[in-house]
This record gives sequence, structure tokens and C-alpha cells, in this order.
Amino acid sequence: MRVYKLFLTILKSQWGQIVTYLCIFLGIMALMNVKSSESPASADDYENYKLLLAVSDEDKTPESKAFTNYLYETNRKHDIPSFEEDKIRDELFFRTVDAVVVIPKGFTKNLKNGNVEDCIDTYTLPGLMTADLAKSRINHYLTTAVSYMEKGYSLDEGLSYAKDISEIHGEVKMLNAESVGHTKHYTFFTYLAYVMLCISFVTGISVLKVLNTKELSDRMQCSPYPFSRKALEIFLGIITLGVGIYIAFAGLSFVFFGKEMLSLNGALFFLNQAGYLIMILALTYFFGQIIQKEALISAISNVVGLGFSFLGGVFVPLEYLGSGVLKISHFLPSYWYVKGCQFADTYTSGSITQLLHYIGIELIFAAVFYLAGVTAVKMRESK
Amino acid sequence: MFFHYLRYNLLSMLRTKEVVFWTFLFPIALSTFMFAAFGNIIETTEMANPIPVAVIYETEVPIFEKVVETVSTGKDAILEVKNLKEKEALNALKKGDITGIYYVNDKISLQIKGDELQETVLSGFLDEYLQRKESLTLADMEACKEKITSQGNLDNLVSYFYAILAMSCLFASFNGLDRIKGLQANLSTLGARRGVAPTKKSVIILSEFLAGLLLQFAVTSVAFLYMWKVLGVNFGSHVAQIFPILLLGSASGLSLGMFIGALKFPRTINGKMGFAVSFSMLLSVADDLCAPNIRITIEHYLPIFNRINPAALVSDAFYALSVYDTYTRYITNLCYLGAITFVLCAASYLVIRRNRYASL
Repeated sequence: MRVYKLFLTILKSQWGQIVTYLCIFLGIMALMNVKSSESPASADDYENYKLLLAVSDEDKTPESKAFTNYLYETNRKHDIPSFEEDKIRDELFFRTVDAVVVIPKGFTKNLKNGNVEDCIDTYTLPGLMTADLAKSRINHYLTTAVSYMEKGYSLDEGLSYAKDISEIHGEVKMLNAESVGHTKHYTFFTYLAYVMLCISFVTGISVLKVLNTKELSDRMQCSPYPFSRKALEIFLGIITLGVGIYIAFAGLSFVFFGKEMLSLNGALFFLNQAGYLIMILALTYFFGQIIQKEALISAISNVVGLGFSFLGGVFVPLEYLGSGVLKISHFLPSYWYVKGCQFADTYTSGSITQLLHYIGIELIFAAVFYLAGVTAVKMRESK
Repeated sequence: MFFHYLRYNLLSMLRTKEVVFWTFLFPIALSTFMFAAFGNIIETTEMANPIPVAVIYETEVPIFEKVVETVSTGKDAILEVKNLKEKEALNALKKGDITGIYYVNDKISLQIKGDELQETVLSGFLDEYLQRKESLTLADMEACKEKITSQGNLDNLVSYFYAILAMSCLFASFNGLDRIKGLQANLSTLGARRGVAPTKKSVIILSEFLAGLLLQFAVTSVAFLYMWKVLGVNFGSHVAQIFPILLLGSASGLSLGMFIGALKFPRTINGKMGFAVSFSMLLSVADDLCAPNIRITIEHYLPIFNRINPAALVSDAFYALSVYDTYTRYITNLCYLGAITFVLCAASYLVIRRNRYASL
């Protein structure tokens, strides 16, 4: 088992790279965890999207306060450091706030006189849905209040009626009992597609590159060690690398989610992860046979890792990708892996043939990459 | 002698494939992937385009019919009504071809699949219809006076492309480090030979810096032209003013690399390269390269960091050009970049001049 031992020795020297990518993954998870801390909505608890609003009340009258309270009750309050126009533009551009509302001095006086037109200053990004929603809610509320005033009520009463009216909601049903959005498990497993590939590449390819250096390869060829045994031990080495990666990340999923992984959905995630990891190992084997220079390893792993992730639906959900990109995505194994994650995430009962279909495609990719790698070896040996 | 050094420095840089990859090919590949993935997002998730729906009339409600017709015609239409039967509509909703189904009988209800902005617009429309019916308010008045009249590019995802260009500028630090390696006798044999050469250190340093700057500026400009012309990223209308940003951004990245190279620690060139990579990536991440809103969060809590982070200054200069009508913020950012370059170059020169080595 000399070649296998050598494989493991070189693998150990790549420990630093593994830790780096693990830290990147944990960093991404920390960011995503903050983002997806709200659990996805279920069929029974549909709620309108609440806009992020910042309100500055310059009028400071009971009526303007009532209006401010209405805005904050029906939307989410967001404090911004300053109401200067430049600062507001920055906040809007970076989407930290959906709309900024300034209630100018004389607001109440204008309303009492029935002047609703242009009585509120708004800062929004024109053309966006958030801008239209914010303005529509404000216009409707104030128009209703004034229409009650015209019927003989006071402004105070008008605002109160407008608030009551705004609480009338139509019946909204969700399509089915499935939750919408993605769970944290989904986020965890989709991002694994990137990090498993990078770790496998920077470690596996580095080892294969060393084993394929001319001097070492020549020495092995003139030794009594048969070619088939060398190939078998390299294969074993790659399997060891794969098992190590699989156990490490499966273990990490238990650290993150605990017993939640001991479910049918968890098992489907693990099954899909195994299928994709086999594809990654085959791809590692292929690149390990053709890459000759150390500098290229990092370049290839970054380009392939980012390419698969951006175009395959790992970093950006598949539903947001354009139709042209989706067509290309079908030719990437990461697309099928993400589809598998979607299936595992939303599976409740019934057949899992669909998932097996996705894993089957991942394995076909694996077979193609492995055969390409073997061909590269044969071509090199024949030279 | 100066031009001799300049020429050979340029040639040797072009032959360093790692530097060419990270400063040229990597930003191009990354921007292509990002463009492919993000290109459709603002249209899909944010723009107020008519939302595809189906309306299933189980009972005739002429007022609702009239209202639906009104809001689905004209340039400000909010709905795009598809003529579908109930089963077809349900299938279309499942597939995502439509966003919602209005069922009209004694009471009107809405069926949806998700709970994003588009669904909120649909439920908001239904709420408003019911509320108007209750309050007998027919039309809204325009209470909102919009204060933002010119906004430039609305798509905040363009900041990812600013961040890529900023990262490309910072990756000039690898080149800067490579330049300084060739000057330090304890880091390379070339440095040892140059140390005993009669040529003035200032001539060598200046030629190294200029060669690095020329190459880096050319490479970053090509990456920018690729994003602008080939990918069609909207960089606003002030394109000529973008080149000074790239020039000063590259200069600051280069000087950062030279400064890291001149530092006593880390001692080895690999250690210095590792430090340069980590530091550049850290600055790029703080500039929204990996996740949005990091830069603005830093601006809220630690604004000084954004003033000394070359990546944030490059991105902010791009942003200022695209969004603001005046050049004040743009010029301020360029001044900061210039100051950072000057300080780092001066510090590097002070550290490496008249170095003595006890043994090599």
C-alpha cells in the first residue's frame, strides 16, 4: 500500500487549505443564518410583505403622530442615521429601507383644509414595487380620512376610520400545505456544493499532481509495482478523501441542526450529497490527470467552483435565473444537485423516484469525468 | 536606464501567469458568472411590471370586472390577466407561470403560491378593492410628493460589479509584492544582484511602480470594458470619469502590495503572499463582494474604515458617479485613494532604502 500511504501523506500537507475552506463555509453559513432566521411561512399564516419605512415627523401634532403610528403598525420601522437627501439615497440604493417618509410642517393644517395633494414628502426608488406599494398605502389612507371629513367628521375621526378601514383584508389562500421559501437545511446543503468541490480540488488535485510528476511516475513505472495496483491505490486514496469530506460535512450538519437531521428529509439530503460528492471526486480525478502546475489548481478550483455555483443555482436560487442561463444550467451537475436539494427540502411523503432521477444524472456526470480521466492517463502512459 | 528597467519589468510581469490570471482572467470570469446569475433578479423581484394572474368568475360581479380591466390596461397596469379555466390556472400557478388566482363568487378571494412582493401587490389590490367598497372612496388623491427626481441606476446589484473591479485593483497588490521581491536581497537573488548594482534605488523603484501601474491599469480597464460593452452592465453615463478611478485604484493596490513586501513580517515571500491575499479579500468582502450591505453597515458604525479601505473607496467613487449629479463625492474618493497610495509608497521607500544584510 505504498502509493496509498504516499497519497495520505501528501493529503495531510494540505490541511491548511481544508481549514481555509471550512472557515469560508462557516462564514457563509453565519451570514445565511442571519438572513434566513425567520422560518418560512406556511400555508396557514400568509402575511403581506411589510415595507421597511423610515419616518420623520416634522409636524409633531397628534394627527401626524397618529399617521406615523399607522405607518409603523402596517410596515416595519427602520431608523436611518440622517434624513439628508444624500444619506437617504444611499439607504435606498442599498435597500436598507424601502421608502422614507417625511411629514412636513403644516401637514395637519393642510389636511384640515382638505388639501391632500402633495402633503407628504416621500423618497423612493421610482419604478420599483416597493415604491408603488408605499405610496399606494399612504394615498389610500389619507384619501379615506379626508373623504370621511367631507362627510362631516373631524380629522381625528377621519384618521381613526381610515385606520379601521385599512384593517379590512381579503381572504388569501396558499396553494398547498407546503411551506414557501427554503429551510436552513436547504441553504446548508446547497452551499456544500461549492465548498466540497473546492476542498476536493485543492487537496485531491494537489496530491494527484505530485503522483503524476515525471520523476515519481518514472520511478514507479520501472519498479515492480504493477500499474493496476497503483491505479487501485490512487482510487482508494480518492475514496478516502471523499469519505472524509462526507463524514466531516454530515457531522457538521448534526452540529448545526442536531436531531432534525434524523428525519426522512435529512436522509434524502445525505443521499443527494453522496451522489454529488461522487461526481466531484470523478472531476477531481480528471483534473488531477491533466493539471501540471501548482498555480493552476487554485485557478481551476475557483473558476469551476464559482461557475458551477453561480450558474447551477447554488448562490442564486434557480427561480431567479433567466431562461437562457437555466438552459445552460441543465448541462451542469450542480443544477441537478440543487434540484435534489429542493426535492429533499419539500418532500413530505410518496415516491422518491424524482430524487433518484437527479442523483442518476449526477452519477452519469461522474462516469463521464472518470472516463475522461482514465483516457488522459492512458494517453500520458502511451507517450 | 529608466526605460530599460521599465521595458524588462513589463516583460517579466507579463510572463508571471499567476498574476495575469488573478488580476485579469479571474475578475472577467467572476463578473460573467455574476452577470449570468444576477442579470434577471431586479426584473423578477423588484420592478413594478404587470403581474400575471387568472380571474375565475363563479358569479358575475361587474364592478370587480371593471376594476380588473382598469388596472390591467395602460402603461401603469399592475395586472396581466390570463384567460384560463380553473384547472389550467391552478397548473399555471403551480408551474409559476402566473402569480395568483382571484376567485370571484359571493366573496372574492385570492390564491397564491409564495409570500414575496408580487403576492403582496395582489393581496394589496384585493384589500384596497374591499376597503373602497366599504368606505365608498372611489379614487385616491396623490398625497405623496416624490422628492427623488433623478436616481441613476436603480439596480443595487451593480455594486457587485463595482466590488469586482475594486477587487481587481486590490489584486494589483500581488504584482506590487512581486515587484518588491525583486528589490529585496533577502527575498530573491535578483534583489541581491540589484542591491550591489550601481543604479539608484529610486530609479528602480519608480520603474517598477510605473510598469506595475501601466499593466494593472490596462488589465483593469479591459475588465471594465468587458463588463460595460460585452456584459452590458450599466455604469451610468460618465464613462470617461471611470478611468481615473481605475488608475488610482490600481495605484493604491500596487502600493499596498509594495508595502506588504517591504514589511519585516511575514519574513518569507510565501508568507507575504498569503498575507496579501487574505488582506485583499478581507477588504473586498468589506466592500460587498460576497454579500450585500456590508459596506453601508460599516458606514453606519465605523465610517473611518470605509475612508481607508481602497476597495470601498473605488466602489463608492463608481456609485457616486452613477447616482449623484455633482462630482464632490467622486473627487473626495479619488483624493483618499491618492493619499493612500502616497502614504503606502512613502512608507515602503522608507522601509527598504539603505537596507543592510548581515548575511544572505
